[in-house]
Amino acid sequence: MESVGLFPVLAVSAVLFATGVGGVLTRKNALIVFMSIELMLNAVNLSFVAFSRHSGLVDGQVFALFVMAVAAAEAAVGLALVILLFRNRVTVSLDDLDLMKG
Amino acid sequence: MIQIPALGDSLLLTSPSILVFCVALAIMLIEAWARPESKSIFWALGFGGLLAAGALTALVHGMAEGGVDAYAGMLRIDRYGVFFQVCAILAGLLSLLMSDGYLERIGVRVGEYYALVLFGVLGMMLMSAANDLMMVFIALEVMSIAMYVLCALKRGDPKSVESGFKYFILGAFSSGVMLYGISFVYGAIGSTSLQALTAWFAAGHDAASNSLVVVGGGLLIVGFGFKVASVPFHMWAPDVYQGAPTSVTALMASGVKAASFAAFGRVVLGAMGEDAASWHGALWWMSALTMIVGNLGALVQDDLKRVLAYSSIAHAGYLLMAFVSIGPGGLAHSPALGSLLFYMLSYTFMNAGAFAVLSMFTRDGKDDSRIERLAGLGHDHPWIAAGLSICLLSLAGIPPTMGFVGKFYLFSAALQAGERNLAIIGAISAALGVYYYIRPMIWMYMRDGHPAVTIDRRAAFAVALCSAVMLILGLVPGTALDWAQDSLLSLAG
Repeated sequence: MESVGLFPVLAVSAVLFATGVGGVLTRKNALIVFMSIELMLNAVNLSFVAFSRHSGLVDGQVFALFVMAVAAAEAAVGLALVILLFRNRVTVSLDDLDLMKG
Repeated sequence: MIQIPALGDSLLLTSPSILVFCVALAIMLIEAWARPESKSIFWALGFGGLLAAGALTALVHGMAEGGVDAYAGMLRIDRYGVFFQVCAILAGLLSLLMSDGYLERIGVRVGEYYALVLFGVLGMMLMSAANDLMMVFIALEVMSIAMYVLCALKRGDPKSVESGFKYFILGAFSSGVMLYGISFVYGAIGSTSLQALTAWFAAGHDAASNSLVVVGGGLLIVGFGFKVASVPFHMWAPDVYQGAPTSVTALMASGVKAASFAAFGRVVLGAMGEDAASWHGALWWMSALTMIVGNLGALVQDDLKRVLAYSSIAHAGYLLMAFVSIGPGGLAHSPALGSLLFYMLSYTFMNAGAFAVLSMFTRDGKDDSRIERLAGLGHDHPWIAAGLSICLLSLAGIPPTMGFVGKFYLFSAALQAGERNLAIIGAISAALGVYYYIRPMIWMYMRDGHPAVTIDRRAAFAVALCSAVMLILGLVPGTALDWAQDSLLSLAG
């Protein structure tokens, strides 16, 4: 079977990660920012798996599983916080999060 | 044939963490099924559990003299880890002391609070001992996820929710950055173990994997930079510290910061050692900017919680100085860096003490920590005022307090390492900082008024304990300094 080299996979991962970072930095909707963070974590997983396949060591794939588990826990708390925010403020726009200044 | 390491030893070595975990689970189960009317049992369980964990840690400390690997090298129980575990447990205990009355006053006295505090402390303890980048990440998340929830615990208060949400977004973002760095390091050296990283630095390496490690290490430093709130990754700290319930802020400012520095230190000082030179410039600027921005930012704040948030940023800068000051020859030749650990210990006490006083300032179930509320405190409650003054003087680094000793040794370590400019920047910004630590004292002692303060016996005990430790260790710091230095040297192996 023809296999893809290390570099193209890493490039995809880097693009995904950059997209995620861009989303976090520029988008104003809490849910989209949250999705962008998940995108970053998936980019990390891709990069772990790519390195793991390249080197023949399986730890990288195990790490990807760990990251997924942690991301799921984080998503549970994160979405609960978004709901809480909406109940309090009836908005999920990050621009409105300005109660504290100084 | 895979060698199966003795699990029994690992369990024994991590028994303090396991105990904390079990107590936290017990609290959750009791709250879910028994639903006791009085929540005092949770306080007692949590406090007792942490005390027992502290005692166990002392026993384990004896067992792990030179440092032992546990769970196939995922954790390393050595003096360095134990030192920070003690800091984490102390932060948890002090925060619990001020919690009970405070939660009652703001109307969120719920069982899960205590469970979450213990989970947070568990994460800090694991982070202090983590010897593998993957373990650092998992421990960090155990700690952070508990903290996100704790920050937003006052569900009806938009500030608290906003604080929890901001912390969550930036925390998750920084974890992502840090993980990406870990994946690069893994790609270059084929392992995430810190020992493997040290070995990799010692052996020769090609340019390609070298650049991967430099980029990966840089991303790791950025991730840690977020966690310890250093400039330019500090923007979240003031809002999060101000919005979170005060007892949670105390835990964040002392425990979370100590644990983050523990892992940061194990990576930079322990694993990278003198090879951290590749990131020297970045760390130097981070440290300098953090000291300047933290101290300048605090000058213009009118809310004491916000002042302390900026002060915690400034303190991250002083502590970062230690990372820059590692000279050639690695840790073994820079024992002065033990001041990092000593300062972390004193920082835990002085912050917890100051926040314990703030936790007594509530009005109609809300925090009321504006600086003018302190007016007349020196007259109405001289002991509380004295306690707060000692904590503030210690934060400012004025003798004869522990904060002075810590700052003195941190700055002299920097000077010894030839970082004269950084030490000068630090000294000037610290001198500027004295103003905002003295200002609350002027309100307390020189303005008339009757502060609306609820004297809470346990919180008052926490203040008394912290100020006593500040003064005693400020006058006779010898033992604690030796302990800090020994602990640091255990990293050098």
